[in-house]
Amino acid sequence: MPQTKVLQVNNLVTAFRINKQEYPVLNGISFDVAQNETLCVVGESGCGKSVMTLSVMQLLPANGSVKSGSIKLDGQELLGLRENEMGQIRGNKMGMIFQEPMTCLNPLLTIGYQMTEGLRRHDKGLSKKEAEAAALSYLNQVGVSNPEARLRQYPFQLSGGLRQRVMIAMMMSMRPRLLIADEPTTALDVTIQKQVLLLLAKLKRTMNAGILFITHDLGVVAEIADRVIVLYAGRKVEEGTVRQIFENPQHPYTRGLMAAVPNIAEDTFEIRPIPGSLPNIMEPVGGCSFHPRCKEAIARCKSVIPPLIETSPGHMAACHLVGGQTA
Amino acid sequence: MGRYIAKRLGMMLVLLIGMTFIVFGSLHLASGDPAQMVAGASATEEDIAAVRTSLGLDQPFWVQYGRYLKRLVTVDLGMSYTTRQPISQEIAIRLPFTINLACAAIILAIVIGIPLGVLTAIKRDTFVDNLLTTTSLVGISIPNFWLGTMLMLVFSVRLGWFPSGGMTEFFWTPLGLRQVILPALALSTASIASFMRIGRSAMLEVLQSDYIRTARAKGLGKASVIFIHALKNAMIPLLTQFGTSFGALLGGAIVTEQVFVINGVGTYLVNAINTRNYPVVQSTVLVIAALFILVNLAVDLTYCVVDPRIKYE
Repeated sequence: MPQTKVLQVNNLVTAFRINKQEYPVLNGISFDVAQNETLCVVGESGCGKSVMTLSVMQLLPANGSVKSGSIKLDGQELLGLRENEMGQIRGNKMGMIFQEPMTCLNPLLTIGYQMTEGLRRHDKGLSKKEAEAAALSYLNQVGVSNPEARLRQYPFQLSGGLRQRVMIAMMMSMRPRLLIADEPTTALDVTIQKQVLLLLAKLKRTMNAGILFITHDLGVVAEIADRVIVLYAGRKVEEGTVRQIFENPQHPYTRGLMAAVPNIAEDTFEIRPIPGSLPNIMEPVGGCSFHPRCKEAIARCKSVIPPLIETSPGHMAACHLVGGQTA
Repeated sequence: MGRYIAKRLGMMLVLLIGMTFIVFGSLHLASGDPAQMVAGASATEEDIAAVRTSLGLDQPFWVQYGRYLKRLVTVDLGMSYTTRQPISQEIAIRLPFTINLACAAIILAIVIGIPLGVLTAIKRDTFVDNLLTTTSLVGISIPNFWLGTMLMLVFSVRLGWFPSGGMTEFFWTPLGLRQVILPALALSTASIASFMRIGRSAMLEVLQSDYIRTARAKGLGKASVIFIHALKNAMIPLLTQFGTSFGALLGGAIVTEQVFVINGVGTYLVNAINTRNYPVVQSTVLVIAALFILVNLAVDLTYCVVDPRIKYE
């Protein structure tokens, strides 16, 4: 079926300035998110997942900036927009949920204020009463009990799970086309995690929005993703549907991630981490940046950056060993 | 809440008693004989001895201190050695002018210092920030008696914009405003600089927090992010600074009042020290200390208005 693309990111390069020198953190990443689709971005800590989301939102810290590429939301180019123009888009057309529900709500403002200010910012005609009614209905939808009382409460009076629900309700109430969720369940305990994932899946369907979901937890990916991209050291190394990735991982890094998840069904229940660690962005690795950790690395891996090769429709990997083109 | 306030007031009492002991004791150790000052230059030894007995200065230290505390309990601050007037009356006339000066100075510190702090935080590491942050160092180091004299020289003597001294009305009247502006400016430079520096560091910390990113992710404008989300969270350290600054302003007022010939408790205190007028010195210090403690109690109570997480049991 033809799907409308909500977000199209093309060849995105984001760099950070450290000691007056620019270091690229994202090296030309492309992906898109369709309406009613959840795209999961996986990779270990430091591979550039969060920088990617902050680049899209244009909320990078002061020493980070997008160098080149294109970010289109519903066909509109976001790069080059002025700050006040981005203000019209953030919240309104794309919302974001963060990892730390404990610190992401303002401790000195009531839940009601924080939920309604965004609504009223993007819809100037909305009265305080109407905004509160909207906030209430979304708190209900995300399963917050006793929402009227919650509106008058402060974040410190709510548990972590409740705060994350408030956060989701707050962002969804503005009815964005795209919801970016940066590890929204990492700080929550497992039972709450599950509820939040179900909630996001439900909201996506009812609102016909796209979700860009960042996680390092493959269990979460299996649960929520339609498609998956795997990041390594600022590059996309594999992309495919959730089936393709789980059943037929092509890139050695993806296979390493899969193997690192302990399987209780096995007799020898053990954790098999990928040896080594991510390269330091200040000391770039030549060729494929994964080669120092790759058991299958060949001579070419050290010198030539592998291009993305489509191995089956919609399934791509960036490795010299895929697609039968061994050195 | 009521219990907390009662507890704090009880602590204040203990603090004030301790303070009376220190002031009383240090005056006792100080050189100079109040009896001789009271009796006058031409008095004989017998006259001085008679005065000493009548003032109770011939009694041992503990007896003198005990008598003093006993009078304090009945809110009797005693008589001034020089004027023979009740000290409480003399302070009541002068205190409003000192408070007038301190309030005007703290208002200046707030309306100038906090906006500059916010500005330097937003413009972090730019020319404006560096310029203002460096200037604030000058503001902290400049002695207020010197600045007061310079301000007087330029704005009263040369330009004739403001009166060069005296205070007869409070700052909300037109004349009172003209009278208070120079001394308040001289007095408040250090506080302006402190408010600016505290405001800057508090804002910098708050602006990096996750909830500011959330506010921006909602698409809020710069003004609501800074003034609603950030500044409110930066208020706690600024409130603390308010309490500290108020103490510094009361202390600074003593000198500033001298420069601008203001008949407040500062001038009263300095004159009393010069004439060994011990009861006046003790009472004035006591009143200033009580004022400082009360302001800081008010600051502590304001914390829970700003931050709903703070509760006093």
